[in-house]
Amino acid sequence: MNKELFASMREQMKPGEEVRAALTEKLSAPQKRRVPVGRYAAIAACAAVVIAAVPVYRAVQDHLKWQALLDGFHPDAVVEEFPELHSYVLADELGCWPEDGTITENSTDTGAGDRDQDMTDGELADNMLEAGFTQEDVDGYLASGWQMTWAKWWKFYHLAEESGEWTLEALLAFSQAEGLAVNTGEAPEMPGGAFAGDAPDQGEAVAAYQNLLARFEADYGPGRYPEWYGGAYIDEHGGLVVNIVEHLEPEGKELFLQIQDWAGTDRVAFGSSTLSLDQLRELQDRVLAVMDELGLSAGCGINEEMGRVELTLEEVNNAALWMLAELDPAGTAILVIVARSAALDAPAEEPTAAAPSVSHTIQPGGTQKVPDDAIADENGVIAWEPQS
Amino acid sequence: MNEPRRASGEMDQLIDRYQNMVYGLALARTNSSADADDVFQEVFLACFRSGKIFRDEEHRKAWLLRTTVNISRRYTASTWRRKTVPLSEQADIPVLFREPEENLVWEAVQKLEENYRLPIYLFYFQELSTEEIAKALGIRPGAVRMRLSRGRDMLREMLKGDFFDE
Repeated sequence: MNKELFASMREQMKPGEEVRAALTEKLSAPQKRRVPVGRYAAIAACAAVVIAAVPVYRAVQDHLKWQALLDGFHPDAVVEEFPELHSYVLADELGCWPEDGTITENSTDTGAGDRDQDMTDGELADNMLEAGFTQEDVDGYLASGWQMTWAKWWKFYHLAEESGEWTLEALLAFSQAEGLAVNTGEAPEMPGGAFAGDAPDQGEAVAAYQNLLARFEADYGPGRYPEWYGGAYIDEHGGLVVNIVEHLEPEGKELFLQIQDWAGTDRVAFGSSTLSLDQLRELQDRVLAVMDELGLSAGCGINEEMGRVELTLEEVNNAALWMLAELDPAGTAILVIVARSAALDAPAEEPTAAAPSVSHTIQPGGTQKVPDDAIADENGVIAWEPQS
Repeated sequence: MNEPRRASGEMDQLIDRYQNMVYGLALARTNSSADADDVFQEVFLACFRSGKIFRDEEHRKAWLLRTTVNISRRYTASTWRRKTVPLSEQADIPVLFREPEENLVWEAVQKLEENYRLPIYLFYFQELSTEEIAKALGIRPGAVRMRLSRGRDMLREMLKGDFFDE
């Protein structure tokens, strides 16, 4: 192409003098650095979104987590909002009082159903070893015959933390001072479990109970029970009481007669319960699963006399109470006992040499015979003598 | 490494060196003297205010070309400009060269689509290499050569073979 032509045109394509002067003037004027408002606004908006998003994200994640957990336990249920918190009781001395956010001392309910949970030998051994006791200490304590409970254990634990006395002697003195029940050493195949001192002979009741269980096993398989069966216990008169699920209680006498026939005795009384034993066991499994999910240390058992699951916790939080309320909307099927507060609230007491007080209330289950080497105290209470 | 252009003296030298290139490209892109005036000022003001440090002169030249294309596009594409075109056309002064043949060539160049017009202008009027054009327009050198070839054919057809040194 014609280079001269293009060169000529290029020379003519330049800004006018006035345009160049205007540019020079703009460049010469003091330049106030332009504040990048848009950029700052965008950054601020992003920051606001992030700041707002974090709690929202956490809340949503928490909600989804709990909702997924809840849905897992109730696949058919649609959880629209968090349930109310489940109530709990603080283990205190030998009894407990209801706890609904605030402690009401006058509302003490120390009925048999609010009893603290016994520790098994294995649980006690594990906790003692974990706390620094030796195996000899464990063996020594188990030989002493004291029946340690979860609440009492945690009470001792916190007292020992303060005093530094992690000794067998201190534990035995504590057990005596606290008036722990005495473990007979028997492991009867009975619901519930603690021995009572001068209880009436329970032999007939135990035999009746075992007959009943044998029949259940034969008809329903090991560990399975009829849907109407709400559990059984031995009352203070040494008689077997069989609970019948309320809404499945027949109008006629056929079932009651049938149960007496299975038990092999007519000394069988009948009570009622809301849930069947199978339902209680299922609820127990769910409770333990929830506590496991939440990472809470828990002991959980079934109180067949009261027809409920009893859960002992070292500590409790809202998440746990939400879940428990979901599992037990009526708040009657699960008794939550928080042991830590009892230990913290209870004043330290000087050990006394007084003989351990033994409950005369026969607990669910029990034992049919008293060990040969048991002795009677001044009140005629037969018990293992603590080896302290 | 060059320092940012803060002093007016340095900026004047920069404008002297590249004003024709920037203004001509803006004119080729907008085909409006008024818009080209605005683009010309904006480009150098942007250069001055950005404080950008260039690796070398080639880098600066490429930056000015690219910025000119971008700012010109903003002018021609703006809603405001499209709505005011009728009034602007009446007020705008047509681009006129001294020689009639120059006006004929310019008119033919303006008739080319933008894809061909800018490579033609940069190659023949500013005598940039295909690599420089590719950088300025953000396309591959091969695409530049292809557009140059097709644009040249279109110009030859429009100008009946005149002004071409075959």
